[in-house]
Amino acid sequence: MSNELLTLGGYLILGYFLLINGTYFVLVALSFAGVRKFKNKKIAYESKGVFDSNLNPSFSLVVPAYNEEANIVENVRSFMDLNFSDFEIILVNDGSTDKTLDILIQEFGFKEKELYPEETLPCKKINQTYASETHPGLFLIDKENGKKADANNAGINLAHNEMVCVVDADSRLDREVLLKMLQAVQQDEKVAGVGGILRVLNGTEYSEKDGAPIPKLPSGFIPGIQVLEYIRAFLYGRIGWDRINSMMIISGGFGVFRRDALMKVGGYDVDSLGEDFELTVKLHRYFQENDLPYTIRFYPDPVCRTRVPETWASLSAQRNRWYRGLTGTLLKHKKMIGNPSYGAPGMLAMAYFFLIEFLGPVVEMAGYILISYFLFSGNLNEDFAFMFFLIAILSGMLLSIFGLLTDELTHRQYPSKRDGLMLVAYAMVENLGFRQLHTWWRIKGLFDYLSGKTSWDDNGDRLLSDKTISVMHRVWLVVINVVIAGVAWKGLKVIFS
Amino acid sequence: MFRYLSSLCIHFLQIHPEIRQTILSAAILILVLLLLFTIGFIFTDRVIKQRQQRKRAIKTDQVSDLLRKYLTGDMTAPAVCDKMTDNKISFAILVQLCRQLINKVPAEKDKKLIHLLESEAVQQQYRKKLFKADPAEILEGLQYFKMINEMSEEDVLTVKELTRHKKDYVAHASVAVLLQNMNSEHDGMFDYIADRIQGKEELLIELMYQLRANPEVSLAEKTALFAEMLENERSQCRIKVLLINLLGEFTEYPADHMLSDCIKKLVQAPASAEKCRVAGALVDALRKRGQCSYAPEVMQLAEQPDRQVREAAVRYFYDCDSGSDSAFLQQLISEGPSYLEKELAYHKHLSKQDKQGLTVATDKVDEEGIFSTEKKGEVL
Repeated sequence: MSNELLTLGGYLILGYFLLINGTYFVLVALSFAGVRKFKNKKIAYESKGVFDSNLNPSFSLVVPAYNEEANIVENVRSFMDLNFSDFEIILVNDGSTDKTLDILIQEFGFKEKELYPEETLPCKKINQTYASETHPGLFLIDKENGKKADANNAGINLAHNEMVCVVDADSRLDREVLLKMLQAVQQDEKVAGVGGILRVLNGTEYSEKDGAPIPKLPSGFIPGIQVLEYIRAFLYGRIGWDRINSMMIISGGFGVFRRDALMKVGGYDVDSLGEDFELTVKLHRYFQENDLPYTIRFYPDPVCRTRVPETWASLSAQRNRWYRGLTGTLLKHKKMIGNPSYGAPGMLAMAYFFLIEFLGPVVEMAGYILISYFLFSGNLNEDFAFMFFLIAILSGMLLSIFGLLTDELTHRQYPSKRDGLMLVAYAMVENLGFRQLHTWWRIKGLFDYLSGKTSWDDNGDRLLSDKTISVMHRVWLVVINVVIAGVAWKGLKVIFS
Repeated sequence: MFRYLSSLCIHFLQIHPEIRQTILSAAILILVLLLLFTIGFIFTDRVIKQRQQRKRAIKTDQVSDLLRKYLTGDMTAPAVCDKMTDNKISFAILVQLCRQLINKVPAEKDKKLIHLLESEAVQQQYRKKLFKADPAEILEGLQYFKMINEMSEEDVLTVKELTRHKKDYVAHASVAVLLQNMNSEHDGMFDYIADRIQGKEELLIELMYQLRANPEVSLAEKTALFAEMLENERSQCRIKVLLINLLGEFTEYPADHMLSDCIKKLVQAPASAEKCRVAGALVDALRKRGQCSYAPEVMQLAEQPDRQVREAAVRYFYDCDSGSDSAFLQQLISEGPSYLEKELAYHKHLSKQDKQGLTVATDKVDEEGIFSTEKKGEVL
């Protein structure tokens, strides 16, 4: 009986594998079509006249900052330099313990001023509000620490303009980004939110002549492989979902929303670990439940460059938090999962997030455990298992390469030959150890969530030093690669026999 | 049915392991080939693009040389075009170079460049593109015709046809070309365009801006056209406000009845971001025209629940009162909604002195519950 159950489990995993890869390949196809249409539209909709219209919405840039003393001045200056006629910048110092506040006050001529933010969205106590005497339209909120969602809410409460653009303080925006976002808003009056492309800032240099970004692949495996992950996530995942109006994540690092829509749904959930995902889902839910016309779009041109983790410890902690955020949001909005009354976002996208993003690591881990069990109990059909494993690895590689291809055909952000080769190499090795690590981080995130670790500060990894974590991860990569090489060798022998 | 088929399939594979093996081997082979093909494609594409760039640089040098000769009078426009055709050089390079040079060379040379751009040979090249099946090619052709000032009747007809293209962005670009090239000779063109963009506000706004910038259409014609659009009952309030603003730029068109009509419509409209934006534009229109006689109507806007609508109304009151003492504002506050003083104080243009000059019934503010007691003292 137990053997039958295990065999059934094996078939379930096989079926799941087909479902997951089938979905990914459909998304790839949708994104290829989407990119082509977008390119043509971009040419057709160029219009200076429309940009000059005084009926265009104005933007409020909300920038939450926590202990950002190293880069805050440079980054705020880059925000002030954006090519857009009517926007304000609201900096939110989220209880920084370093000199962020002092530096900002000194550098931008901030003076204490009552600004009377609305009290609609929940946030921690505001200590003081400031307005810059030297830069009109530049405001600062100093508040008690409440994490990013809380700081965003404080900024949105103060925002005076119709559109709110939320951007991380450690990020840089390309100069034309707001104009491009405006274009997205103009093309669709019903738009409640628009997401843009997030790219990796690490390694990028800026031209001294005109401040234009010169993207270069960061040195080091950890930020390097994230370049590939970001390309894949933004260039085929989101474009694909956008085609069926089911964009479920407007990244917390960079996104534009209608302020009134944010107010209606209560802004960011201050208790959520995946506040960006939660907010986007909440927007879908609100509009679907109230049967109001809306769209949530992804515009694959505006670029925000963000700093990504450079150590194993911070990367694993980030991914662990993301997974806990995903779990929390899915539980909170479980009513939407696969529910046809929520349209494509509920029936397809939420089902996807549950079946693939949430269950993915669980099934993958179950697969590894089952294969190991069958192997040691002597019940493993070795030929089949090894070949199946090869197919899984190759599919993963192919999907990453398709992501790269989309970037090549549209933006070609990394034009140098070396960077091109490195990206292809990352696409190959990503599946040889890194992917399994990623699965493990997420499984750990699930356990953490189930054991009640649902806040930003809960992270078991912090018990170990960065160095220990780094050594552990390196050892793992070596071990897994030896195992994978053995399996691949066996699989190839089967094929050629 | 599905369960039956899948169990049949599994059963079949179990009794025929060699078939299963073959399927898996084929899948691996396909994946490997696809992988190699895609990687190969990426790098081949890079190499091809680099080569194209190099070739383009050489061709650009050749075209630069031809242009130099043309501008110095050593070559005629048809000769330049013939030379380009003989050497198989893309006309896109010529167009690009001309665009770069126009407005950066003396006026006389500018004229020559425009003449070359609009020459029959170049037009012929781009005319062909309008008949291609690929939308990207059509767009390239349309971009060219949007740039030049001359269009034959036949071209206008072709572009008119394209406004009905199934791809919305091609239709949009076609309308933009018609707008760009609209002049007094094109009878009925305005009506045609207005008909094509019915209900597409984005296009309507673009139409207005293109029209404003179009030197071929006289001021009198522009006024008549805008006024016609303004009187159109179907036009939405926001369009009317924009039209009023545009009309205000070059004419004394008496739009007063429209303004009060717009305010009435706005007051009745449900709360929305759109409403806020239009209120802002409306107040700007009133301010630009220096009309301060709308206090009763604008007061209705000040009573609206949307913060931004109220702010717009406050902006109107503040502007119209500037220069005089605050008696008007005080009267407004005593007669108007109780939160008006808060909005006035809140407004960034209001000076500290004005804030101090305001005497307000604070109990009214408390009733509204708009801001807390501790903040209230600071405002006042």
